[in-house]
Amino acid sequence: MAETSDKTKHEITQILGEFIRVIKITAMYPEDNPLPRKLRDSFTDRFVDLVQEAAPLLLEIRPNEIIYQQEVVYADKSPEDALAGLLYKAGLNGITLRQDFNLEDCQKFFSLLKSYINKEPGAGDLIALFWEADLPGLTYHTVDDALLDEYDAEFLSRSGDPVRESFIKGADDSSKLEYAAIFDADDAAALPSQSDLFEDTLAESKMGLAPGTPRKQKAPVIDTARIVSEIFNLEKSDMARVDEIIQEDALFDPYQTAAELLEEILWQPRDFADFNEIVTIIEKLQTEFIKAGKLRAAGRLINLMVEYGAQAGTDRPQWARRLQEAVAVAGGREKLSVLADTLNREKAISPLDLSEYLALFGWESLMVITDLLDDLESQVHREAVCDFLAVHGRDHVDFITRAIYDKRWYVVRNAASILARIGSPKALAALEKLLTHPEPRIRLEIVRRLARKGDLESRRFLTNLVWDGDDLICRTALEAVIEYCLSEGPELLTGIINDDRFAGLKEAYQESIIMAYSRTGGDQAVEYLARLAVAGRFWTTQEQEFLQRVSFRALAVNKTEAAEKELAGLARSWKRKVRNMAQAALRHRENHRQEAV
Amino acid sequence: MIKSGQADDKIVLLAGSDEHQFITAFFNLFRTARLYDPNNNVYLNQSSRFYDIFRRLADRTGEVPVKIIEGRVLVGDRLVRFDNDGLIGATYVIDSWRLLGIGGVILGKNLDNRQLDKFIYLVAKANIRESNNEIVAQRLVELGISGVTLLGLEKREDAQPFLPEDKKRQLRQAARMTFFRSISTVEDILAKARESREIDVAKARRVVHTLIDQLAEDESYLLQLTALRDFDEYTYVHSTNICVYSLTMGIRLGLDRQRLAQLGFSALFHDLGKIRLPGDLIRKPEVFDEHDWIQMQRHPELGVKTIFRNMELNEFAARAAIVAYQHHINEDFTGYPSLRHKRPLNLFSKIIAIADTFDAMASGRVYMKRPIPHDEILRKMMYQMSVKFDAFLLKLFVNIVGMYPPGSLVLLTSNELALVSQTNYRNPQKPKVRIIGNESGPFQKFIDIDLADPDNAHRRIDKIVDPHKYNIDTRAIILIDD
Repeated sequence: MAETSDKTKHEITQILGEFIRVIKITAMYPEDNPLPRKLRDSFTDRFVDLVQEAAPLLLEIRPNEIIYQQEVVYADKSPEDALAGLLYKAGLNGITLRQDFNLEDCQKFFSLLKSYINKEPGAGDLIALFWEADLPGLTYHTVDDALLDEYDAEFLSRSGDPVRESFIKGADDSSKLEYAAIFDADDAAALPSQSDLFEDTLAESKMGLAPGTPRKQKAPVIDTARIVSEIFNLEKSDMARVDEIIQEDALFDPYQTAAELLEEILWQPRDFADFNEIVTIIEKLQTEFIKAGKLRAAGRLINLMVEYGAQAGTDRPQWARRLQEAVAVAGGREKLSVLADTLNREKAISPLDLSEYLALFGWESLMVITDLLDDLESQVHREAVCDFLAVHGRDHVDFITRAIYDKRWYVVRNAASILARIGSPKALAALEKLLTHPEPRIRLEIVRRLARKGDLESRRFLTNLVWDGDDLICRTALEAVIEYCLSEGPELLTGIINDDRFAGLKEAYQESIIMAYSRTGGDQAVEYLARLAVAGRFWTTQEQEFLQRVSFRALAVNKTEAAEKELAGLARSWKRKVRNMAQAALRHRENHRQEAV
Repeated sequence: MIKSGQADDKIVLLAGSDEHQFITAFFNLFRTARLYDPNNNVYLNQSSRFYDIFRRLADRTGEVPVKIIEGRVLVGDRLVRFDNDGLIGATYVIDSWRLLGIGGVILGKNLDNRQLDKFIYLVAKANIRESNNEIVAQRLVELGISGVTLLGLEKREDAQPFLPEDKKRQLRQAARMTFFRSISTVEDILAKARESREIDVAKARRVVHTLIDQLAEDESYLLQLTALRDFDEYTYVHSTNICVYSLTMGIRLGLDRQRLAQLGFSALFHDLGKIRLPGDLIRKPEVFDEHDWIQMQRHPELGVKTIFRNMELNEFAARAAIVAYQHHINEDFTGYPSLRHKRPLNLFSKIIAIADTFDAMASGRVYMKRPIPHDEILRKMMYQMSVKFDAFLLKLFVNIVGMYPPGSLVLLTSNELALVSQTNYRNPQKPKVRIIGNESGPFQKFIDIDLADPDNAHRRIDKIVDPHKYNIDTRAIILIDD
């Protein structure tokens, strides 16, 4: 027996010793990760086995140690590994685990401790968590219970041991006469009169409890039998009402409720001190809303202050100033940094909610919002902020431009992205400074953003990036320029073709440009292509040969009469190669014409 | 074998639709078995339907215990509410079981159709004059019905209270301990809040947990203690009372533990704003004048501000705040404070408003500076219920406190003076009472009786007596423990 007991104590020591470690390990991984889950499962299995063997397992919790059968079975090792301290600080001084503490209970117990240790939202009170979980095999004893035990003794002495007759107040003859009067059937005073009952008409009217009842008028006497039959029978409709009530209540939203309440009390104050207190509360709750990721509700509070401030503006300038201040603080660095932390923790927060929230602040916040980009981990949120700044920063490009000098490439990239989306001359001027930025991801961001814009200025800017050494950037820029020119005319293409660097482009890109130029350039393009077609009268370089081949393919797609004539002329060339290429181009045109017919 | 059906009965939640379906089908089966033989299609259909429902429930819970405690039916630990029709059917079975001394049954997972039918017919056809639970238990063994365990009433005589005296005393003691501990803790919390504006949320939650656990054990003793309005400073007792009333309503509504905890928490702090009002005003013995009212009407707003300033925002704080703000606003939006946006009132506010109005009127310590007899309060509240209170919730509240709320002093037709100790929800005109004296004078030993008991047919409530008028200290009566 003693051996079993020692074995049990040893096992208790082992398990308690591992508790914090196992919790910390499992907390590091997602719930569905098989490895920590396996660790947790094997640990809880052992724990349940132990409880089954030793039940009821009474553990006394002291500030730094845990006692079982008057022996220390666990002592805190370090501030990080201190199960006893943790439980004691939570207010527990004892835990009893009974025979019916099963595996499911154990896992729940484990998970509650995990939430508590991890300081998960709503898990700040371990005793409340235990109580709410209502684990059948677990009872706990709290430090408060122990303190209240002392109160019980005090209460017993206060309540005393009443003597039988002591319920009659006073022991004189008049008290006895009053007692006897109870049994007097004629004692009209047995029941208070109606006028006595409702004498405080002011109280009734303040409490709204006398609907249209004239003063001193009796409340109608309701027949007892009617009350009994109507009140004590819960009908089917009543039972349906219960379900309805419970379901309605389940929709309770603390944030919406708090916002509605603040909306009400903001209109109540009588003096500035009172008003100031309410605004301070709004500021506090606004931060808590943000921490909880409730951006809509947080935004509602900003709107509330703005709306009230507008109304108070002329009559109560001091009040209006206080509100302006509060709104400015809400859009300030400190609060937006709280927002960034929340967004990084709650990646599921909708980008729409984020944009709508940011839109509540004025231009004064743009600089801080731009800085917000540095801290955001989720691309979705960064995009949302960029979109927001692209719309709201149009008139305040300087704030955003500051960021292009940042040392961190991704900060620069975000700023570039916003400037590209704004696309105004000022923004493009700022972007020019980044054309030679050594980080290709920044240049790529610019080209991608500008490529999505359809205006001439953006496309013109893109022609600068056609010469970029990075193939992806070059191709993206080129595709965007060509796409633009196919619908809007060859002006940008002419510029590229006439640039000295044109010959340095990849042949495929040169061909694309020339083909697009032929399609859009009309007679002017024919003239240029004709020059290429006959270039190198006696001998040709490789480059000339390439351009010659491309020029015939380009003439084949040029729909002007001039192109037709030019090709017809070339088809009669004394040079067989030229003649052949011209004839092939003419056939292509003919085929194309017939297909069109 | 007959097991005790009373050891750890807890009424925590209302039955859901599964349990409701189960018990209705179960009781119908008994009634049908009285009328038809086992091969009749009517019985067979009902039996098959019931068995399906049973299997579904048993698969989920393992075994299905059905207990009858004080006329209330529990499936597992869930209380079943009956509508009028259901109650008639249930009453028939409850009464016949009671006469046989059966306090309930546990239907085990291994119960099959054949065993079920045998059991139903065994009990339904049992002759109550010749049979009792011992005989039924013996027959269960003989018939090989291993899937059913009978729960007994122990040695209960019809005229005696259901629980043995020592168990009742234990419950009373526990209820008192909980109640007075709660008052003391509320005092600590509110005093601290008054001094430093700090609110000990954890402590408050602990109080509420204890009250819920106690109410789950037995609500009647705690409800009785709410009549002790003079025990301590009004605010503390009042807050505790509102908590008890509200939680009892919440339990009847079937709120889950978390929401019950939130309801109790909100009830404790419904008058929190008053800690910021001058003490002289709160303790003023005279009727309030206009100036007093202007101040008093600020307490909802002050309550909201105190809660939001000092608590972290979560469901507890938000619910406490809305209750603090709305508990004096009536259904027709009269009362105070006046609302800028007339949104529907919150459920918890409605519950607490009813409890608050009742307790405030009964105490005569605030607003109307004179205690009003319970029946008059209920009459007044009922009169105003369509416009001032949520009619259904008020109905539920009256169901809990009864026509004669615990603590009411009544004169019986037998010319005995009695204090109502417990509402009899099946027969509200006949509550349980403690007879404390008669024309000849106060009794040396009080007598606890159930007016619904046939032995007490000659005793009915004649009228409610105003204890203040006759200098009767009801507190002393409640606290005497025989």
